[in-house]
Amino acid sequence: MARIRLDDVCIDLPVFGAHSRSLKNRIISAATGGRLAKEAGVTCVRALSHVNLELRPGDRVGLWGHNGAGKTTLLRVLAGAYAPTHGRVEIEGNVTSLIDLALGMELEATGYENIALRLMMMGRDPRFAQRITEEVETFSGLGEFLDLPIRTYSSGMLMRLAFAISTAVEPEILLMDEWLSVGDEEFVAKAEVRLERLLECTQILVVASHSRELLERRCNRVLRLEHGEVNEAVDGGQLT
Amino acid sequence: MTSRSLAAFADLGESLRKPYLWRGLAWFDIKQRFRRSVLGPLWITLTMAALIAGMGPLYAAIFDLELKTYLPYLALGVIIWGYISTTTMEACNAFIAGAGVIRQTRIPLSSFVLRTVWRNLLVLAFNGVLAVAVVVYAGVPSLAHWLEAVLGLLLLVLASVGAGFLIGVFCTRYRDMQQLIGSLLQLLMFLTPVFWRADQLKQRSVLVDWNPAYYFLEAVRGPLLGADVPAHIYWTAAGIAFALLVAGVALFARYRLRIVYWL
Repeated sequence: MARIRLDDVCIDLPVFGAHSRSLKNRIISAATGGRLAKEAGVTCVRALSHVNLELRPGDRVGLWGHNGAGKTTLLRVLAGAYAPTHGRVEIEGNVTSLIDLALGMELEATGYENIALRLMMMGRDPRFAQRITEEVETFSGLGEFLDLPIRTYSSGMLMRLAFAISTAVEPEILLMDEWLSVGDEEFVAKAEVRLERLLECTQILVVASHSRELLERRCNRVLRLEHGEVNEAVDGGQLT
Repeated sequence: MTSRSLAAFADLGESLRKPYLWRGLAWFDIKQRFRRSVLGPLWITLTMAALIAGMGPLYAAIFDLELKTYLPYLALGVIIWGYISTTTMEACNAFIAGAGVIRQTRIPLSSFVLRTVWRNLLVLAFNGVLAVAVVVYAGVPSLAHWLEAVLGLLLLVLASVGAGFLIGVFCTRYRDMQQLIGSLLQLLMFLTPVFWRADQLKQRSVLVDWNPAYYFLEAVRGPLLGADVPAHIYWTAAGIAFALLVAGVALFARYRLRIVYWL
């Protein structure tokens, strides 16, 4: 049973300039009586502020907010990449993140190598990868191109491959940054079907989007993000 | 034990349960380095062979030593030192190199340190061909000596895992460290008995007795050349390896969750 629980979660992102990152400056500031606090002299941006959230199976959650409101940060917390600076995060169930489709892909490596690489990063063992490879082969329709380094691919082909790999594993929790739309007309239709199928077996979906229409159509819960604060939107009419 | 160290051990445990992750990435790194070259990773062996063939006769002449004993000494020294210095240097980038992935998904962070160590062990294996060749040239050591060398190598690997955590975490936070470590290593290469022999010094030097690299070098190289290495060399090497492991894992446990924010 997939479940996500956030208890009073804050995320402070330190912003390092060349200054604060050097040891020399740390030593000098210590020697000149500067205070050696835990993150001395580092500017922090509060990306998420006291977030309480509970997601259960069946939840189709839309994240709504301006640029920089904290949508991507929240997605990264849900993906398990960011540990909270304050508060607690519990995530049960395996997560597929479609935030960055090209995650862990290497331009110099061939299509096949990239399939293997990506599945490794997703924590799948090689035996599993072998089974998936065939499926990715047919779905991406890249044929012999899979033997070539992916730097030779057009951006459309690259997206096809990335999409095919990312969606080959059935997740319990699916995270998306904007609705995916990849490739040419024919592939878009194919991708849409595949995404629908993926959604059917996904217990929790979280999608960040600027499209009100999408959120109203796809989601049964909408969270509004403003300056790192998360509030439940009671109905779609609140979205501005 | 605090929950932080438990979580760090869980991270390490997950890496060990998924060896294909860091082994796969390490092997991929090697392939990547030699992509489009005809000989591929064989270049590792060839480069090292050229270095040894060039330096061996020269230094043997300078030091007025017999080539048959000096060449194997130099070859093993350069190969082992190569492992020590490259692993240390690359540990600086262990987490930084994985930034794209670490920022996007949940992945055991310790696997990036293991990847760095494993990659260098693969390089060491390519050079191992040469090591075996020179050892045979010098006279095949006894089984006991082989075992001692394996023990020495094992201690070296453990030490480099510890150092990998220590340096990896530190260099991610302080980006100056990489330059500093680079220049220190270069200096250390000349101060360590890689090219010269410890017994060439008139008085035993602080450079040898207080040089951690010396103990590992001696623990692996000594027995392979048929020398009876005193036990205290192994004990000291084991002590250093243990200290590095404890310090490295402690630092990793303390700052593991901060690493993603430092990238």
